[in-house]
Amino acid sequence: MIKLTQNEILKILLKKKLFLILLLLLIFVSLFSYGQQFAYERTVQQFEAETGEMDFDWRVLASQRLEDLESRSDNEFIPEGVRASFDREIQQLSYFIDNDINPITPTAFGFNAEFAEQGIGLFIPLLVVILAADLVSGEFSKKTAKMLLTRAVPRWKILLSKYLALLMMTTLLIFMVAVLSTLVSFLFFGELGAGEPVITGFSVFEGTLVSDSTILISRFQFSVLVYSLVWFVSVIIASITLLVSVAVESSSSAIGILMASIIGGQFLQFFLADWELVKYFFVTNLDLPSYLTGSYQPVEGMNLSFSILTLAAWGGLSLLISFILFNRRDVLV
Amino acid sequence: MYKKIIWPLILVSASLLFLLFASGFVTSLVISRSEEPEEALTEEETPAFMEEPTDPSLPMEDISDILVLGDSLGAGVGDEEDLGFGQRYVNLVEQSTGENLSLNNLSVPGYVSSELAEQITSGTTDADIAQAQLIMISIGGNDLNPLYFEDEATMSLEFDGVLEAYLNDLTLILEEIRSLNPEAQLALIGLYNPYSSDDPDTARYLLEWNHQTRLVANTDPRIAYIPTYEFFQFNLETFLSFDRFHPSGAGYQSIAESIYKVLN
Repeated sequence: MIKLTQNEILKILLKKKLFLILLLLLIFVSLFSYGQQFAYERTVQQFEAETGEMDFDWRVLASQRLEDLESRSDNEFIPEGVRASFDREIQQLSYFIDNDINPITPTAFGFNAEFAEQGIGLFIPLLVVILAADLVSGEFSKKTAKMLLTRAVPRWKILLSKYLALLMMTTLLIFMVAVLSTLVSFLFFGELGAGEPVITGFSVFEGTLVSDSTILISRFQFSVLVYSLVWFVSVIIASITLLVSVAVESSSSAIGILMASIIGGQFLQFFLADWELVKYFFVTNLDLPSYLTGSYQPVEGMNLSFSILTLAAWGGLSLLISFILFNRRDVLV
Repeated sequence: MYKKIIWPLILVSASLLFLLFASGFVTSLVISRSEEPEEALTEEETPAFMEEPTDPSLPMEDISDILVLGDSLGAGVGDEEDLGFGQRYVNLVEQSTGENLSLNNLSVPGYVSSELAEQITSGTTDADIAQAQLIMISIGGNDLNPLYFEDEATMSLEFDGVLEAYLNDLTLILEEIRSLNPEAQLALIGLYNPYSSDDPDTARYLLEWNHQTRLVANTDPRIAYIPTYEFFQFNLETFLSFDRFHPSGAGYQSIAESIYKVLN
C-alpha cells in the first residue's frame, strides 16, 4: 500500500504540473502584493494631499478612534456584549499604538490570510483541479490503465493509493500557497506582522452576526486557522475531482467539467440567491474563512458548521461513488 | 537519489502539515460555534418592561390635554430638572398664552417601536389616547441605536430590515391612535445624532431614518414631524446630558421649542 502511494506521488511529481502551479502562484502573488503596496502608497499620498500635512501621521487617527471607542465604552446605555467587543477593538488599537505599528500598513501575514480568503472561492480550487484532474482519467487517455490494473492488487487499493497521494500533494500545495504568499509579500512590504492582533470568533445568533464571543489572536495564529479551512476545502475539492476523474475518460474534459461547475456555481449564487437549494451546492459553501473574519452576510440557516457538514457530505459521497465506479469499470483497450 | 529523498520528505512533511491543518480546522470550528445561552437574557428583559405601562394608565379619570408616548426621550431621561420636552412645552404655552394645559406621560424608557405598538394595541392606553388633544410620540431611537455599535458591513445590511420593521410599527401605531382619536394633533419627534457628527457615513443612516419618518408623517395632515437633528448638530456639547446620549435640560428645551414653533 505504501509502495503504491509512493509510486503515485512520483507519478504526480514526474508530470511537472506542480511547477506549473507554483509558477501560476508566483505570478499572481507577486501581482497582488505589488497591487496592494501600490494601493497603500496611493492612500497615503491622497491623505497627505487632502490634509496638506507633510507626513501621514496615522497615530492621530488611531488615537482619535481610540478615544471615541473609550468614550462609547463608558456609555452605560450600551449592551454588555457590545461593550466587550469595543474593549477588544480598544485592545487591538492600543497594541498598534504601543508598538508603533500603523494598522493599515500591509504586512506579509495580513496578505497571506487575505490571499487565501480571496482565492478560496475560485483560484485555489482550480489549482487543486489542475493537480488532480488527470489522476485517473490520465491513465485511461494514455492507455496505461491496463498496466496498472493487471497488477495483483485489488482495484480499491489502487484508487485508495491514488487518493492518498492526492491528499498529500494537496496538503503540500496549501502549505506552499501559504509560504509563497508570505515570502513574496514580505519582499514587497518588508513587514512580517506575525504578532499583530486580529479579532475573530464571530458567531451567528438568530440570523444576525454576534460579536459578543470574539477573541483576539495573533496574525500568525489567524493565518494558521484560515489555511486550515482552505486545506479542508481543498481536500473536498480533491475528492470531487477524483470522482470526475474516474467518471470521464479524458483529462481535459475532467478539467472542463470541474471548472464549469465551480464557475457556474458562483453564478448560481448571484442569480439564484433566494433559491433554497443553492445553499446545499458545494461552491456556495467554499468561502469558509469569511466566517472567521465576520465579513459575511448571514444567510438563513447557514453557518460554519452547516457549510462544513455540507462540504463533508459532498466529499464523502464523491469518494463513495468514485470507488464504486472504479470497481465496476470495464477496461477495454 | 532524487526519488529516495523526495518520498520520505513528502511523507513526513505531509503528515505533519496534516496534523497542523486538522487541529487548526477544529479550533476554527470551536471558536465560531453559534452560542445559545443568550436567548435566556433577551427573554428575561421583555416582561419587566411589559408590566410598567399598565401602571401609569390606571388613573382613568385623569383627563389630559397632552399625551406623551414613547421611550426614554419622552420620559425626560437626562433632564436636570426632570421636566422632559412635554412639561417644557406646557410651560412654553403657559408663558405665551396663559393657557394651562395638563400633561399625561406614558413613556417607558427603553421602548422600541414594536413595544410601543404592543402598548397601544393592548387597550390599556385607549382612554388616554381618546382624551388627548395633542399626542407627542418619541420612538425609534432604541431601534436604530444598537445598529450603531456594529461594524459597517453588517450595519448596512441590517439597516434596511430594522427600518422596515420600524416603519411597519409606526404605521400601526398611528393607525391605532387615529382609530381611537380622529381629531388629535400628533407630533412625531425626529431623531438627533448623539455621536459626534465627524462620521458622515453613520449620520447618513440617521438622515434616511428621519426622512422615512417624515414621509409617514406626511400621510396625514394632522401629524407633524418635529426636526431635532439640525438643532443638536451644532449644539451637541450643551444639548447632551452627562451620559452623552440623552438630551440635557437645554436639549429638551430645544425640542419643546421646536414643537411649539411647528404647532403654533
